[in-house]
Amino acid sequence: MANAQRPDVRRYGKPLAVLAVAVLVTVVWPPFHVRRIGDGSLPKASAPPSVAAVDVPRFAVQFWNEKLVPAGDAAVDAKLLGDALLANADAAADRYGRRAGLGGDAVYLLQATGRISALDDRQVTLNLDPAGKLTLVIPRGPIFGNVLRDSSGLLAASAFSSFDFNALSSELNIRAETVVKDASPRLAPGASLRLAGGAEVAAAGGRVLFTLTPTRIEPAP
Amino acid sequence: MLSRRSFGAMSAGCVATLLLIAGCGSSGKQASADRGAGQDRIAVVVSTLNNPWFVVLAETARAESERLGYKVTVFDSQNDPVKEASHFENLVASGYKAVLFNATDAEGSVANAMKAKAANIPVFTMDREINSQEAAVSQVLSDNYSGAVALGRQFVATVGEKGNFVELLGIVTDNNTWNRSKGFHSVVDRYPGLKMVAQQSAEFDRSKALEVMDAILQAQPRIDAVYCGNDAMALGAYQALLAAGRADKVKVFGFDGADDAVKSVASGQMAATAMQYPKVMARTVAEYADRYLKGARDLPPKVPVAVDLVTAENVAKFGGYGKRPAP
Repeated sequence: MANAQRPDVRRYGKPLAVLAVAVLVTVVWPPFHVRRIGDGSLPKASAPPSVAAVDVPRFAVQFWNEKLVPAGDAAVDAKLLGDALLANADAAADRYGRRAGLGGDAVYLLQATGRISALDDRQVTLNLDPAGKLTLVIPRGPIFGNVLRDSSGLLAASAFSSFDFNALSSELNIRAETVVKDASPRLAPGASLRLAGGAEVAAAGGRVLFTLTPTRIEPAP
Repeated sequence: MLSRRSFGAMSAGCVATLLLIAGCGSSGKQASADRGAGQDRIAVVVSTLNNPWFVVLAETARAESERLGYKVTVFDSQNDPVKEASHFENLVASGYKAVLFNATDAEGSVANAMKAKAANIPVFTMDREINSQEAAVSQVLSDNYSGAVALGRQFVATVGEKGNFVELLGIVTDNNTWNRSKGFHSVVDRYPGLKMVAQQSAEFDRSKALEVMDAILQAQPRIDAVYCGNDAMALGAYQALLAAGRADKVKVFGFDGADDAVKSVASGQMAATAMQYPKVMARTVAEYADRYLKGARDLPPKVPVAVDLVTAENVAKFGGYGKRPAP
């Protein structure tokens, strides 16, 4: 009996060992998974995008009137900001500046009062302090970039598709251009102005240059 | 005693049964739990490895994930949404813990990310946006629009307010293509003297850009500048201009900050490019994935990463797909 079983063991032992290894491999690394159809674990092939479309021009008007202009009127004063930047630029950026994401220069929502020292077709230049350390320029031509959109901290990139978020910048810039255009008859050397808006900053050599995208330009009292 | 035939049939039956049992019994979650005894695995799915910029993106994501203790596999979608879908099928079935994702298609890739999400595998996009606020935990993306605005301003400063130009677009289903185009046009379209005489896609590909630019050059006798949606296309366009003997008359603008392009800006072959930071994006998504897997649920849904203009004046500050360390 025992002798009769030995040929079977010799004949089937190796294939059985291979089978055992295959079973082990199959259990540890299953080659496929079976799921019940319609169990909700698989999304439909054409899942629609979930970024809600925004009526950007309409949103821009509402944001400008209800949020941005009031925030600009209550923003940090450029003289205070300028002194803070000259004292410690990084600390001032952390305290008063905003960035849309990672890296890049901080932008600032600010208000300012100053006297026009020069103007031409391209820009208006104002002195903000008697010592001449703080200068502010307002571009008179097209306004580009995201300074207004990003300087208030009131808008989050996550709330928009990237297309809408960028289109919003263009809409806000066009409104800022209108502010400059409307103020043009009052712009003359020596005139004092009260301003608000978003600004880029260059600070070096004990001087600060603000480049303002304005939400407000009006005669200073 | 078993006959050889009956033994074979029995073996095949056993194998089939075991395969079925294994398949039925393993959801994606369980499969990953089964493998949890070893290192957790992260998948890096990248749109293409046929462009050095994306190699840097993928390899940095790999290196950072490995540094954080994960085993990493890089999947190359070869700019093919079908291949990308296949990668997601595989990684969902194979129990990866997270996906660091550079998509091929802003719309089409949403379904893939949703598939991973349904299997409890969090997705983190890098560089390329997908059009969903639900599919990815976080999207870490270059601020392409701002970079293109800066390039547009440099374009006007270099070319002037009058001239003819060509635009080479990237892949038309990719949001980066249009954000770069819209940012650029938000500037140059304000100058009526700047006329776009041709706009064509070269799909972010250097060889295609060479072909497309070659054809455009034959049709357009006067071109002052070329704006390209990435550096690979800019370098291809430059080759076409060189072959046509017009390289010294046409200013070339790119986007990416690829090493070859930065060198071309330094040598004067290209007028400017925009430095994206692939290493920053890749490290950030790897870090976010690690934080998420350790329980963090407060990660920002969308993070723009700043882009810097690279010109002949400041090119010495850039290289190695980022800023050079200060001396």
